[in-house]
Amino acid sequence: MDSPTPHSPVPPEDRIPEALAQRMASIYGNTPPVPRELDEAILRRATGRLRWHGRWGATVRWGGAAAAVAAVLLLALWLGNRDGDLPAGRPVAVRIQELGAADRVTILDAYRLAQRLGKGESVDRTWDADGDGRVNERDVDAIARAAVRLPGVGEKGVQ
Amino acid sequence: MNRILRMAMLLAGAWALLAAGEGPAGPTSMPASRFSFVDVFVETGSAPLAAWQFEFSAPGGGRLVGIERGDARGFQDPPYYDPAALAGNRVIVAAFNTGNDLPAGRVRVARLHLWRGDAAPLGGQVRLMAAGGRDGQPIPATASFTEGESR
Repeated sequence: MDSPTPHSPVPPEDRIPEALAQRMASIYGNTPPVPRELDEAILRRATGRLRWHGRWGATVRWGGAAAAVAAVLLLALWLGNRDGDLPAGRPVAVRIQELGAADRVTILDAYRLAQRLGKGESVDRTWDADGDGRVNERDVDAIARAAVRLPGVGEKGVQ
Repeated sequence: MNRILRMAMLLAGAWALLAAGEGPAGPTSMPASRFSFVDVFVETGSAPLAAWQFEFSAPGGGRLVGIERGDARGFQDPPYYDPAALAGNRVIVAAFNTGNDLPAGRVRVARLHLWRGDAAPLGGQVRLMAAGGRDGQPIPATASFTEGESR
């Protein structure tokens, strides 16, 4: 104990008192001597392992972060497109503004939307016919009113 | 007393003139106005009808004065139409039903009430703009109408 090894020289002020060392040795028994070769081998292996962690740890950390970002993006894309099968052609609000066009909205558009809402299914925002930021029964009504509006007659509202 | 007698004679004369004006119109008077109605039918064969839309016009004469639903099962609400059309002789009417009890075959979908200024032929035309089944897809269908006299 009191003979420092070349790898870990112990300054004299940090050495434990001789009496205490003897007392502890009597309690725990004498520490068997460790060969220097074994000590150095353990040290080399530990150093190599730490180097591996330092090199690959950064790769794992950055790779994991990139994977998480990719997963969030994919989830956002999926949420945004899962209702994309409902609109037939261009957004209904655009088609409403083009009364008289060949693909003007009809009562079938209102019916399809009412069906989806009635089943509690989520609906793409392109069906926001009244432009209030939500798709609900009011949009069904707006689409139906647009479907029966007579081009050039007026905008009195529809019953 | 004379003044009272003259007043009574004037009132009697005015009453007689008014009464004469209310009588049946003779052949030389203005044509009698009348009301009529048009029942519009959609024929779907055996396919259930969930939504329909038609355009009706009567270029020959007449003005739309009212629109009511037909007797189609499940279509209890009044149909959609543009109130501005009531001033003219052309209208687009539509309705849908998201319920399960859907009619099929020859379905009377709406009744249009018209004011006829004269006895000229209506010259009505109906054009089916959309007819859809339960899945919201178009179904083969035709539209027709019959005219009746309102009393």
